[in-house]
Amino acid sequence: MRVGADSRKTTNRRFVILALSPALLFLAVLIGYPLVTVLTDAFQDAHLVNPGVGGFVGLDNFHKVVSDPHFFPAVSNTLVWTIGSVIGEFVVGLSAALLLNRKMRGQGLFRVATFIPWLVPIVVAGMTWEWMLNPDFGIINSLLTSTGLVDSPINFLGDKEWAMSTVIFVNVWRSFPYYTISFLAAMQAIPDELFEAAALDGANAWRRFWSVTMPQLRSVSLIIVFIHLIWTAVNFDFIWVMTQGGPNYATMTLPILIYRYSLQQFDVGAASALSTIMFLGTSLIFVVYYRYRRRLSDEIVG
Amino acid sequence: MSITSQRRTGNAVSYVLLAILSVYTLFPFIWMVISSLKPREEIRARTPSFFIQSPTLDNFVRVFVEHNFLEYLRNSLIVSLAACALSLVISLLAGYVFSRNYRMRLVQGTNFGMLVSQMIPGVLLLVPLYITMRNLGLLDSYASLILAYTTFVIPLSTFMLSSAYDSIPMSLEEAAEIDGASRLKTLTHVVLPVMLPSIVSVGLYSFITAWNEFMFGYIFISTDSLRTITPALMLFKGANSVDWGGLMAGSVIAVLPVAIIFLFLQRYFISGLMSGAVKG
Amino acid sequence: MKKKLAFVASVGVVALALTGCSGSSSADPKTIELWTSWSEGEATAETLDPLIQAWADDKGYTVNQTNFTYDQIHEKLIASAAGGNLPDVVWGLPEYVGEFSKLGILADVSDAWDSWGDADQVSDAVKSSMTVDGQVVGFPYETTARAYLVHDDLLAAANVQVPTTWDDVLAVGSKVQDATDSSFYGLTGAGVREPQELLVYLAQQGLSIAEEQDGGGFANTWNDNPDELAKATEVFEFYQDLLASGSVNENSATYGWEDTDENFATGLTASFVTGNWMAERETTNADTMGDVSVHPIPYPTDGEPATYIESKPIFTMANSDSLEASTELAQQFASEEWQTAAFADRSSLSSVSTDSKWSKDFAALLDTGVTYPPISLGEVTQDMIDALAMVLQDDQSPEDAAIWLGDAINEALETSGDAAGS
Repeated sequence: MRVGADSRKTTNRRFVILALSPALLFLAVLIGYPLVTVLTDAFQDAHLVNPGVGGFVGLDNFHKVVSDPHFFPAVSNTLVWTIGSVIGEFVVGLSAALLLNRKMRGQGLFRVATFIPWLVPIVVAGMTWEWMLNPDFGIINSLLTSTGLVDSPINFLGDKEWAMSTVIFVNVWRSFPYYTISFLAAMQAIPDELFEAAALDGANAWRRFWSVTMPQLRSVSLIIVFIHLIWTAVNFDFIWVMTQGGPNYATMTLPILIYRYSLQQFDVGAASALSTIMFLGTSLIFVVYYRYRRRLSDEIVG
Repeated sequence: MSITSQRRTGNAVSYVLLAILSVYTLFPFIWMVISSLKPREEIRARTPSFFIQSPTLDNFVRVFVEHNFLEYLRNSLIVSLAACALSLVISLLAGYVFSRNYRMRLVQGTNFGMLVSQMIPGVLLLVPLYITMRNLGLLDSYASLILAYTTFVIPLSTFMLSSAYDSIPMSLEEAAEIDGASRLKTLTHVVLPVMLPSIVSVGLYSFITAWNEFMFGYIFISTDSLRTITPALMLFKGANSVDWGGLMAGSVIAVLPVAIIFLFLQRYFISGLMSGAVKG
Repeated sequence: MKKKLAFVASVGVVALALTGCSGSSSADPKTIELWTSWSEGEATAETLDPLIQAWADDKGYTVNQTNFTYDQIHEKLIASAAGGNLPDVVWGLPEYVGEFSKLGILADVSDAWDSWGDADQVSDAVKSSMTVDGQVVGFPYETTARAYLVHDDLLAAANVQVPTTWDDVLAVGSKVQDATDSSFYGLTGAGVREPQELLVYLAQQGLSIAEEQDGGGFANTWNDNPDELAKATEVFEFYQDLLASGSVNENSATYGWEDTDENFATGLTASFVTGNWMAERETTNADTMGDVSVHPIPYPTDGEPATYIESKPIFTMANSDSLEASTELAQQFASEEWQTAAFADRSSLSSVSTDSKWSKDFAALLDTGVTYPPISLGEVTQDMIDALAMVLQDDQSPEDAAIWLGDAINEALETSGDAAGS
């Protein structure tokens, strides 16, 4: 930092506030109120169709949620679903970006092909996959059995053993393109000289990837991974469209449980309490993110 | 092995891998296209087939004539473009500060707020956001969807753009500032051009998020002439039967315009094209 | 800095509060908002559109009709109920009656019903399915029964008679499967149809999921009455035996209606309990749907025949600015004229029907029909699905499932405020 005059610091501060205010206004008006509602409802007896009850109930909602026999299985399902999806998305997304970043003919078409899944609305993607995966009239099982890859059709979404991996597989299919697009964009900022220097040092492609590409993708990876951890954890529509949490709770995650509390049982208090518990869980992710983010910023700004 | 032959093998391997990847990504879409061209009898056949015995455009005709898909497309386009533009302006500003002034408490506080906003499950936003929109008098208008979608994408857009700013050396701006340019001018004239690939990718993200959103599209909108495309697609799923032909034709129509936009924008992701600007 | 953040946030909240005061719904009293759920372009929509238009012109009203899926209508109504911004007339499902009348958004149309000329054409079961605490809250615009549909050719090929009892069904076992490669019977293991089907088998045993109590309120009585519990256990046993005997496709333990109807239409299932919307399949699956005959649903030897009547109510919203006209419009949908024009094969009126088996043979079963009790069903139907999963997927004992379901229903009644004494 230069020996700055106070005035520079003041204009700087004013600039910061000005630059942030539109974002803050949007968040305050549209997210602030729901957020406060969730946090207060968690301690209230809030019920949509049974308004006879009401008022402050302390930790009752939390007690109800935690003693629900589906709570702990849902926690572990949420972990499997979230971590499985994010690892799959990251690996496929990064591999695709590396392949698509090579200077070759026809890359434009391959890029469009790679991004198609991301363009298909989630509800449509979920319904179409469900249709294609059906054991009796789905095209995938029909292909698998006619080519002799499997003996009898697999009930992908109806079999407890298969359901979770299947929904993760479909989620990876739909979500990885965003990783690819972000990595591709970030790779543009890597100066060619870095690669040339590494090549001169005799580093092979594998070494160049680890010593040049990966460090430059740290910042974007950090954001993508952490935001997807949160998104996947709170994601509702994919599982809802494909399995509704079934078969027999095999894909029951916390957001589906929240949906059940709020829109099937109309118990907004319990739904809010469960969301508050999820806040605490996802906040742990935030702490880790915050530390890394700070370290990265320090490296950059100096 | 010579450099050229090494490169050739590398290319061959890459093509094979890209082909496998494309099968994975395109399979459902191809199935959609095939199904959209099948008559209802073939869609409901006992054994599914990739081959169409008597291809037909009936499904597309139905989608455009009986369901007002042209209107839905227009509505989706208006809402998505507006949300995309609005969120880009907001997050380009916020992201810049995130990158350059991360140590300020206000910045960290905003960062925290944005992350927390991502943690609320959409289901719980349903009723509160509806009430907010009602209070703002915006129900049943484009504005309700534009504002909601903008809010949903601001956090990630800001984070992504701030990471893009991270990779641009401070020296670039400092040089401009020494020349006497204001901070905003430095931002728009010196920094933004270098970031074009990231801006395009973040813009695409906002556009597509808005294009694909489903729940608020039908919660806020109760008039057919304002309906966007995703909630309209669900109308093909009836209480006792699914009109797969219509649904698939509608989906193809929902995907194609964005795919074409993407085909034009993808050149921004080609390595080397932008490096001149970065070096400059 | 923290103060500043709080400041900005509070400005936002204040702005929100201010606009909250000025915003009000200024609906034109001459406009009626109508939400329907029909298939665009199909006969029902094509016929009703001009009828609605003509009615509106005649009365001097503007009717704004918008089409949604039932799921969308459900969620929109919940959001609108909380936000106080409701339409006037809405197509509903029987599952919504209990919930929405609890929310207090449904108008009491008892008077209009009493002075309705066609009221005597509506069966008591249908009327009571849309009556809560003595108040009628809807008019039936569409009524269908479930029937047992049989592909005669497939059964003939396996030399199997159409079964009338549960034992007949179980005795067939995998005979049809072996002879024709099609499963013999069908069951629904997921989605909205699953609890409807369970309701039928329970009713055949003389059981209901919740009984109205003398002092008001509802309760499930299976666990207080050994006889009822034994009957309920038999129902769950039947489900388990269906799988074990090979009469049904093993995958059907997790199939929703999308799968089961498709399989019946293509002949992958030789016989199945479903509704008369399958008529439409005669054109698209002509070579497999030609041999279908309609029968009563198989019932236990010591039980009675029963079926599920799905009678869809059209609601008038209580806070409508034009309550009278809205109620009249709702009633129009149930009128003989409109029913004949648009719902001839699935009418709620006994005077309206067609000659096809899809109308006549189904209507013949209406007398044995049962409906859901008018309670909040969200959690109850979920419990029914869970109980069936216990026996179909987890191999738990039928008695455990019956005991568990009885308790779970009572708990659900307690939370929703439907329980006796609450």
